[in-house]
Amino acid sequence: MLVESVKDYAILMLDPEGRVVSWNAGAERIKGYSAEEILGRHFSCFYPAKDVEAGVPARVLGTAMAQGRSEDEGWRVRKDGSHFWANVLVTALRDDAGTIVAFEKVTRDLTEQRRAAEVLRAGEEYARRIVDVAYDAFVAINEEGVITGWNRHAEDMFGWSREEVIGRVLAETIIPTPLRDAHRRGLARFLETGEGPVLNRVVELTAVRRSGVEFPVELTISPLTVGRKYVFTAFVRDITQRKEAEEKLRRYTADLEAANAELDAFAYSVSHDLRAPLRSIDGFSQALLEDYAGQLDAAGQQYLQRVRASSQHMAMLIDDLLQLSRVTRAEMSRERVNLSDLAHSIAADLQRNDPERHVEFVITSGVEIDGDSRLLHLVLENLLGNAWKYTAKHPRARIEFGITQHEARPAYYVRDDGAGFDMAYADKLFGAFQRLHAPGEFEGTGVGLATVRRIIGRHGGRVWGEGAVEQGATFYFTV
Amino acid sequence: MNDNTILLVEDNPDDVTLTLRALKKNNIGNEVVVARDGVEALEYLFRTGRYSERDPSELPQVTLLDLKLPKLDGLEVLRRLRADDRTRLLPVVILTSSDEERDIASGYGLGANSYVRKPVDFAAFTKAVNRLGLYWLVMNQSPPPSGSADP
Repeated sequence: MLVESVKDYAILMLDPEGRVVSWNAGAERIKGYSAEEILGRHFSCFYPAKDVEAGVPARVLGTAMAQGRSEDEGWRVRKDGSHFWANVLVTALRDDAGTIVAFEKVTRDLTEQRRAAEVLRAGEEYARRIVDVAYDAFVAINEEGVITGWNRHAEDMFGWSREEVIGRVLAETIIPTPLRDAHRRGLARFLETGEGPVLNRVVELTAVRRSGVEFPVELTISPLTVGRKYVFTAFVRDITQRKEAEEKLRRYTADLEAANAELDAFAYSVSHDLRAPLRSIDGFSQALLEDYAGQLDAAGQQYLQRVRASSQHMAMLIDDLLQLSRVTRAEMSRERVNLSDLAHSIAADLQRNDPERHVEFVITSGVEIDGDSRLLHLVLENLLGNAWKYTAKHPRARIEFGITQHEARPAYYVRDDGAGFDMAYADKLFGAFQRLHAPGEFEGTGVGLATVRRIIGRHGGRVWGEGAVEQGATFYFTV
Repeated sequence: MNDNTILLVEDNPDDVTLTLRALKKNNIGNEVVVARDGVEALEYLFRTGRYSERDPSELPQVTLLDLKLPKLDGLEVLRRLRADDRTRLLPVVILTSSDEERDIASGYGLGANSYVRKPVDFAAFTKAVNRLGLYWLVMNQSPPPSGSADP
């Protein structure tokens, strides 16, 4: 009665030929046949066709007869044709004379367990492969500090193969001698107190390769409990290249700072020392003109005037050069700048200094950008100043400041209807000391547009000009 | 006793000549004492060294101070003047080649009364000296003699 009611096991009896002679509830549940359907049939109907062909059922009985029992695991077939994974134990039952009278067969359906085991195995395999292909080296040690895990990148990084290294003491394998004690103390302290200041965060350390070469690493160490013991896992990254890049960057920065300081000192000394002789040249030329005019003829006086004009021009060049260098060195601040307001005030200054001129300013209002207000003031001062200068030979002129679109970005422009320029020389416009006009024609040092380009460049923008001889010029910039 | 002295602190002899010439052209006839470096300027003002015998009641009405000087530069001279009660209020005009912002800022920061950049154009320089003279020698009321400013 007990056997009949068991549901988790199929328990049945076979006669010596292998025909089913008893059938319990578990057998019906697992295999799908009712007792009426199966009694009297040969048990080979539980096997897949190919196993029957291969003579497996007969071998099972043969083994049970010879050894008293036969146990195996394999696929079996239910009544509906579906397969399940079974653990089967067949025991031979003999009478007192030793003749086999029956076989007892106990079958368990292990399909679920098998699937779970497969999933587990696949999961372990998956995890192992992830660790293996990880970009970082993976190293695991146990509580004794002995290496228990080592992935492919650890092999490459440290020069020890997995087979060689498993079972070695970590400290003696990849930790430089001076750091070994600290490692051992840290491990002991954690096991004793649970405190580990280097655990679960990124730390930078020095490691050593098999060749003895030390190198910088970045790693995270995490303690995991496996059973009752700790395993310490670490992902280790070789940061040699990053350290080198950082060092290089540090050197470049230092060089750049030194160069800047030198440039600064140079500009400072230019500002002081180069102007002093020019003051003497100009001052004493003037003194000659005033005190010795009687001893100089007209040509002589004219020559002295030229000396004075040249010294003053050179002073202007020095000032412009200094401004250009300041524009490069100056610290940038970023704020909202109203270009229209700047343009209005510059236009007013220009008109105040030269009230005879008839120039109409057309300034689009409300043009605002983010940038350094002092530097942007210089940009507009140069562009509007140029427009003012190059329209001087026209009785009436019109100068515009406005905003337009260029390649889907806002572009700001200053346009005039003055002398313009030949587009063939457009590439020369922005070079320092490049001029498209003879000194007698329009005064200037050729530094203004170079200054504009540097400032716009520092704002991440671009500046360019369009023009035609005697048809005006337009200068555009983006930021 | 002359209490309208101008102290010109200037190491460049050409600049000394030109400054004297500009003063003369502007009919500024005050006595000009020239100090060739920062140390000499301090000796004059504090009556030490070469100037230990100088009349103690005499302080320049205005000091024209160059920045780039041998031994002690102009900013250091200014710092020491302002640190001393006798010269704390002495009118000092920085007269220099530089228009570097940090020089202007340090100059005013240390208590300069005015900062003038020497123009290369002598006509412009003469004009600047004229304005300086007009302001510091004619218009400006000098501070009371040293010490009496304190209660």
